[in-house]
Amino acid sequence: MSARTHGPLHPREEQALVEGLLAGDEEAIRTVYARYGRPVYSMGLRILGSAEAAQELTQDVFVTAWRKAAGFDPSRGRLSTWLMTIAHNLAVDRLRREHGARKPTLVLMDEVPETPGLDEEELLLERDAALRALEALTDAERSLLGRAYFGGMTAREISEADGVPLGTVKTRVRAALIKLRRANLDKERP
Amino acid sequence: MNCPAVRDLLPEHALSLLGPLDRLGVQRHLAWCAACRKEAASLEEAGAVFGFTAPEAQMPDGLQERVVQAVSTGAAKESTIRHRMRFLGVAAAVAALVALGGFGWGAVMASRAGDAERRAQEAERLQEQGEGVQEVLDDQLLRPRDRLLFAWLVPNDGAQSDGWGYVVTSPGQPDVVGVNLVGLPAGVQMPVRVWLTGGGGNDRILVVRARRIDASGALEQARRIDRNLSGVTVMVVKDADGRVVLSGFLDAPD
Repeated sequence: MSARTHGPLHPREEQALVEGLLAGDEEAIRTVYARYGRPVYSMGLRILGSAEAAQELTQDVFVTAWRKAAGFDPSRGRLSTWLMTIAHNLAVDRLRREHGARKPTLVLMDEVPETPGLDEEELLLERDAALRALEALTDAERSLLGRAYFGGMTAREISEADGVPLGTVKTRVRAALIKLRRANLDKERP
Repeated sequence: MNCPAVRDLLPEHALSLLGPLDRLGVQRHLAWCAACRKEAASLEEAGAVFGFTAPEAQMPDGLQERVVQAVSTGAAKESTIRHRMRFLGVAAAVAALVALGGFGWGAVMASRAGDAERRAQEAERLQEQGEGVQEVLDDQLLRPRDRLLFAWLVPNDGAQSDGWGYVVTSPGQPDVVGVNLVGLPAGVQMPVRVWLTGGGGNDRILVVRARRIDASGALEQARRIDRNLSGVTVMVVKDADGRVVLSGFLDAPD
């Protein structure tokens, strides 16, 4: 089992990597961790707010990924999406368990991810493309997604907090997600 | 739940923000609706993109080794579980999960309760109770390549579930199917047969044939099947005359 730790993976390589994970192959586990350990941990830290919780989350994410590896289908989505979705589900579930409803009610602008300088070449490609794709969003759209994704706020909670109709919030969240995805696809193209 | 209702919830589904009732409804719909599944995948991808934008954190020392050990230990542990124990354990665990609130049973029970807030609270409570058994099922009984599909079985003319069925597909091992009917409708002619069908409904597989039910009208059976059941999507219970008594979609539980 050998796979590159950097650069985009072909779906066949992703499938092979997940097969290795499924088999408990140590090299495959290390390769998946090398690629996605940091974004998973960083997201966990952002959502849960403590290093200890983020470490536990990271461990849970990889064990869950191993357990669910047989269900991974590269034709339905990328390994990064699959893994980050598992991570986010676990993080938000944990946030709800430990903090009752939702943690933050307001995301200040300095908590919203910054758009990067153009020379941050050391970033993993997925993160780099994602950060660049953020440039396509307005500040309001970035703030909205930040409150929902990192803050765990539902559309109804945002609607009530902002005094905006629920349908409007849902429409804005959907539009922001679609815009971000399109921008990311553009940024990933050579 | 129809397509417009599901589409309305998909952005929050992609952001892991739905409560148990809505999440269950969406996932059931996505199990058979390719168009909504495509939209859901697209929004999930966007959610993952946003996740990558979290401020990069310094990785703690030793975390990689703990992750490798946790996954390796899990992989080693599963290989030591005996198949028969697993077979019996899965049947017992699925029954316990149903009793405790897994597989959305909380949602089903709560949907019969009163106001929306009480329904949500009841669903949350029952779902949490089921989590312990779910972990046993996941950690000790199901192997990583195993896939558990679960179906609430309902009569054609009613929304109330009258039983459940499950399928465990297991590469390299006989697959397992189980059915647990709480109470068959009066007047059902025996024997009843339980069939599984694939997405197109062309490949029907007879998995259970029961001549008798107990005094309360209940039936509980589990069997190993020497066929690959990985493509099945529907479980159907028919009476002796071939009439459909109960049916349900087989979904992967949360």
